[in-house]
Amino acid sequence: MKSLISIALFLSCLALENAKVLPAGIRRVNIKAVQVDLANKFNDKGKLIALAEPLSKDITMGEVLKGKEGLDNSKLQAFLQENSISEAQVLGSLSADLKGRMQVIAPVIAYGVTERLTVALAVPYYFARTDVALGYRANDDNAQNFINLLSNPRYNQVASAQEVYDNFSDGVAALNSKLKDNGYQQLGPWQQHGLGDLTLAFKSQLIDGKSSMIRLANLSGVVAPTGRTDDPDVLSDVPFGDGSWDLFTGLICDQELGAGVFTNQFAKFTYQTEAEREVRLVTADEALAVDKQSLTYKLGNKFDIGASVQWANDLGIELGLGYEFNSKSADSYQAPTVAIEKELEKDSVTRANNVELKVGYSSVPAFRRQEIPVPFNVSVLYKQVVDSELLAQNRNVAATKLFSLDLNLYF
Amino acid sequence: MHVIFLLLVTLSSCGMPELDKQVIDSNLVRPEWPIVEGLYLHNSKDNQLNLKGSILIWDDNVSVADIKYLSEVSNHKKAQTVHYEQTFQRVRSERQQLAKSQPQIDAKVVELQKLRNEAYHRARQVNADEWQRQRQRLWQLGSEWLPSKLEALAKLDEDWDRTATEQVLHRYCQGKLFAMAVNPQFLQHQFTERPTPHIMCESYYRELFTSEICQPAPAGKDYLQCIWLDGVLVSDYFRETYQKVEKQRDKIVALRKMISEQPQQFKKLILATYNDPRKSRYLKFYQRVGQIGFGDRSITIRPPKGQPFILQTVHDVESAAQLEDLESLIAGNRLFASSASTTEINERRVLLVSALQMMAKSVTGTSVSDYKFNRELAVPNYDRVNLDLCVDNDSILSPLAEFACNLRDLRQLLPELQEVVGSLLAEDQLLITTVSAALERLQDNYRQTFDRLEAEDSEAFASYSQALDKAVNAARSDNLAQALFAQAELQITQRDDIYAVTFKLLEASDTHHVACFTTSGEAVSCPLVKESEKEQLLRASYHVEQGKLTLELSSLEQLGFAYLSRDSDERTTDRASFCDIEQFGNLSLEIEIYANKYADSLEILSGNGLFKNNNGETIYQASVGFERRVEL
Repeated sequence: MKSLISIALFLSCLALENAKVLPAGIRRVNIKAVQVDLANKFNDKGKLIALAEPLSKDITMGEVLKGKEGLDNSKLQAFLQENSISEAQVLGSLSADLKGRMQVIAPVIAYGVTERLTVALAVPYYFARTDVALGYRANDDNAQNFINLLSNPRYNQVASAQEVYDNFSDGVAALNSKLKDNGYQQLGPWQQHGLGDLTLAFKSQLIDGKSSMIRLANLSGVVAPTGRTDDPDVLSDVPFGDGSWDLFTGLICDQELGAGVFTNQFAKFTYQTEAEREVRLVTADEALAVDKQSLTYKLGNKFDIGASVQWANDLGIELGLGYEFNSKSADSYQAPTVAIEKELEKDSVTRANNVELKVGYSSVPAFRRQEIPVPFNVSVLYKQVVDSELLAQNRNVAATKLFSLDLNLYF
Repeated sequence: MHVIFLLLVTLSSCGMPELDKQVIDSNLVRPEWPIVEGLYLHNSKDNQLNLKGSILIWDDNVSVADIKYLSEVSNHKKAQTVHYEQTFQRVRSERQQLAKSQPQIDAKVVELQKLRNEAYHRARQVNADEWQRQRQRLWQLGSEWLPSKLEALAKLDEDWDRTATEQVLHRYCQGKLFAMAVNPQFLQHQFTERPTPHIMCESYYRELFTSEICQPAPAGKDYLQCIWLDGVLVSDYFRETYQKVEKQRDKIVALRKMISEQPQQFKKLILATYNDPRKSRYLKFYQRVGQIGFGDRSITIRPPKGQPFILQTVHDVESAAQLEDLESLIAGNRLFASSASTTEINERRVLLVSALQMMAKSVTGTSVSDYKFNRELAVPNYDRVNLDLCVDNDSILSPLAEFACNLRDLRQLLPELQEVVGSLLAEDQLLITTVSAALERLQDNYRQTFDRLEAEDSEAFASYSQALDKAVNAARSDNLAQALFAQAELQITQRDDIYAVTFKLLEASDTHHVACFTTSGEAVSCPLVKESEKEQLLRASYHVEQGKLTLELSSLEQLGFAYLSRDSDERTTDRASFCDIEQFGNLSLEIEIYANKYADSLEILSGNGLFKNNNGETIYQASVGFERRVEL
């Protein structure tokens, strides 16, 4: 089974953008503290569903049939036909709730190399935990009928009937047992912390805005795969990185409107290089009882755009409101079979519409007035994936509500 | 910085968002292993369970539809097996109940005979001349009836083989002769004239019984010597059986001597044996004379000296020899020349069939064309009822009285004789009619019940046979199985604390494998098997709680796992089995079969078999099923 949690990494576009750069020789230390709760996601059709929905499902006779191969499969099919049992008949229903919380602390160190070029390094560190609650309701009529028929002397399959009973009287235990049998970690509490993918970015100001009301900058960089990737044996884990080297570039444009108000638009393209990691060789027919194998893959390239309006006054109050659209094209895997490739690449196109709101205080104006000895900036950002008919459909992204606390020190 | 870390720590301590509560809800009932105590042997008298079964090696390309059909027909066959066994047991029980009604019928027959004899006696006393006149007329008509019919047949076709027909009819008459020769009423009564075994055959008997011992005896005597010496011992059957070989001829001489010199002892010998219920066993009755025994199909007489010899019983002679001939006569195989026209043949056939049916009915009360004729004839009670002679009050049985008894049946079949029977007194006739009706009701009820039981038994067997054929045909259909061994046998025997399992694959094979396990299921070596057989060709163990019998077989080819043609014409037995697989050389077979009871009645052991190579890889998969051998 594929991991139940696959969130778009968000640090690359974590705040309202601007085309400003640090003055030459100035350093900035930025500490970001982010928290995001995970409970729901948008599926490939744009529908908001629980993260645990793949686990919440009816167990049908057809799925029992999938577990049998060759002659055993044919015999069971014959048994079902002989007793007029449909493959769609439900034997029991699993229900599940999966929630998670992720906290990131990301120091970003920036340095003004020249008046027009700033270099920055982001080192995110993740704290993540998830938990799963599972429930099961047997369809007593169907399952008992199946059990009774098997144990009837007509078929004399009492051993099989007892196996069916074990599987369908407590579907949770059966699922965990099956997970264990296939090398998975049983579903339950999970937590881990660790380094995320490092980002090295270069912001180069193309138009400084001194002679016009427009500032224009290029932001380019590289993301190193230093974070842990998805564990193929844990269904409820949270990956801290995607395992591939990423190259990104983009343009950021500000328009100064006066009275401390400026608008911003940005566009960013991220190229994700080919990489290799161990994955489960899932297919549409079998999600659990599959082997693991290290496969070469290439995640889809990302394209992010956004626009915002931001305001700051001489007192250092900062406000911002923005919209951001993140997208990623389909992933591609080099798997042993087309069926596996198809399943791994399924639901890998992502789209997310975000709105952002920022409130902050900057001491830079006061510092310039020599009222405060240390220039710093502190802000709180709220960012949420929004769903609206006016916007492009969200696809395959976690429906996150993100809080971020930013502290910038300049020296 | 400190603020940030403090914030993170705070956030972390907030823990997780609360999960929605989930419940586990199931009311399923766990299936239990069927209770199989001691592999059913605790109910067995001889501590031995015999199972018959099959091993079907699946074809890799078998379709779901074929598996489904085979499952359906196999289960139908099991159901029909149970139905047939239950029907058979019920029919047997009802037959036993029915047999208990026989004494009532017999008593009613005796009562009727007594009434009739008394009535004839009174009628004869009241109107002696009339009875004498009728007697002569009946005697004449009866004795001339068969020759007249044969003459009529001869006129229809000049090519007709009259001699062959007469031979058949004479054998029939001889059968009637045998019936009278061992009939207690004949043996126990005295007659003024030779009684006739059957009036229809009287023309034949007159040619036979010409010696002094067969002449009339006004003072009355038994005609045992007449019937035996001039009749039985010179019959075709005796001549063919005992006259051809010198050694056999000696037996006839010994018997003739016994009857001639010690007729009363011979009579006692027959009577004692006839009345003895243990007909199938020899009865040591009269040491000086010898022994005589009645089997189901024969009478064995053991003289004190010399070899024993066997006298066929009446119904045996009739069913085995005569009826075959009679039926072939009806079919027209012998009587009619090929040149006869269809019309002529039909006319003759009607005439002859009518005559034969009449004769048969006089014996059995049923039509000879009915297939049940044979079966009913084989029931001694019917035979006895119909062969009972009329006994006069004074124990002197006159030919006329006996003839009149025969006419009870004959007059309904022969319109020309109906007017001839002497009239009885009105009150006697009324009483006889009433008792006859009561007897008829008893007999009808007996026959109807008997017929119904026969029909139910036959129907259940036919259904079982059809179901079996269907299951075998399904298993033999293309692409379903690579092999079917349909006559496998499993025998489980318990002795003290050891179970012995004997496995045999082919019915015709002498080879079998034996293995033993304890009552707790643990495999052990068999204490009673010879050293040479202890080659570990079969290992068996038993899981007591699960009722699971595990068999591990090696040396499969010794058992008969080998190529078997699908063409049944190449084999004389076990036509259902076949095997397309040519080599089982390095394979072993692991069988896991579970005990259960089908329809709470039929003990079964069914499961799977895996043919594995030396590396433990499964090469073929098989379904294995055994059922308790149904003994019927």
